[in-house]
Amino acid sequence: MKKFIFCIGCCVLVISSASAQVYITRTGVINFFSKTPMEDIKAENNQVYAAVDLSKKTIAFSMLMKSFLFRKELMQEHFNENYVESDRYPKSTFKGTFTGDVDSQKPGVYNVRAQGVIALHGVEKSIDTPATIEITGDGLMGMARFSLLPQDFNITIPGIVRDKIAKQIDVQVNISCKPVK
Amino acid sequence: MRKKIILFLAVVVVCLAVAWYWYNKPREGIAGKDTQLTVSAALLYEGYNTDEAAANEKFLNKIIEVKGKVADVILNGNDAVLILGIQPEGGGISCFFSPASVLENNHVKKGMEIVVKGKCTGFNMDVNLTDCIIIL
Repeated sequence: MKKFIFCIGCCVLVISSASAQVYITRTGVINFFSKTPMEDIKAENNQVYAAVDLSKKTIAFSMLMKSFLFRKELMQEHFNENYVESDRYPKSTFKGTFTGDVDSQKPGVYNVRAQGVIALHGVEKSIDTPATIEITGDGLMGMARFSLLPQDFNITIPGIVRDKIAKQIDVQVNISCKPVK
Repeated sequence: MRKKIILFLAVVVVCLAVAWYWYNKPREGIAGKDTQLTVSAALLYEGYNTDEAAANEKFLNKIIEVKGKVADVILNGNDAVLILGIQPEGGGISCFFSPASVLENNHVKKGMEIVVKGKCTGFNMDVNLTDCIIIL
């Protein structure tokens, strides 16, 4: 298990003591949406790896771009081959921290701000987004919504489909984590 | 001349129809596709854990059948992720199923030896497979 954490946090998260409050999942969900009058596009990845350390206030995400699934075959193909070039850049990651107090002993919803760096398509970009962390009876749920601009990640949308792909892509994050024993 | 125009229009209509069909073609998954490789969960994981580039060369984007022991099933709405475990608490093979009822219909339970057919999407702590079906 230590190896698993080591990988996911890439040294950001290290279990330092027995009292560390680390929560992990290997089945987080990230969706993204593009809405235009011409077409609505949605893709979902159910194999997102995430770790949240409440004592250090760090968050780490990692996912494979090829695990994003689309409704239409051609869209998934174009996404992988032309836009995110998933053979060259197979993964996307987020490494960051959150501000706001979360008490692991008190179940409830905590509003926090998450800050950090997204790596996607070989480009690193800082983001800052509101998020919620919910302490439940047996774990932790995390939620966030934010938008990304394809051009910020050097993704160029060809003219022929420009009307069909939104300028802003809405991203929705949902993770349900269990404590590391 | 009129015949030529009609023929030309007919060709245009057919081309548009074909383009429309390809553009809107739903993603079919893997049910009708042939298995390209068969491997045990342990060998697949070891392959990726020791040399990811070489394993990608062999498995990435391929339809593979993987035999292993069910370590965990995580339900998420209509979908499910099944983990084929290697050692307790370690990495394994993460298999995505949609809808989740496929697992119930095949009476899949923790600890069972099963064969999963899916498309390999790479390595990220676990080896990831999508569009999975149960072969048993």
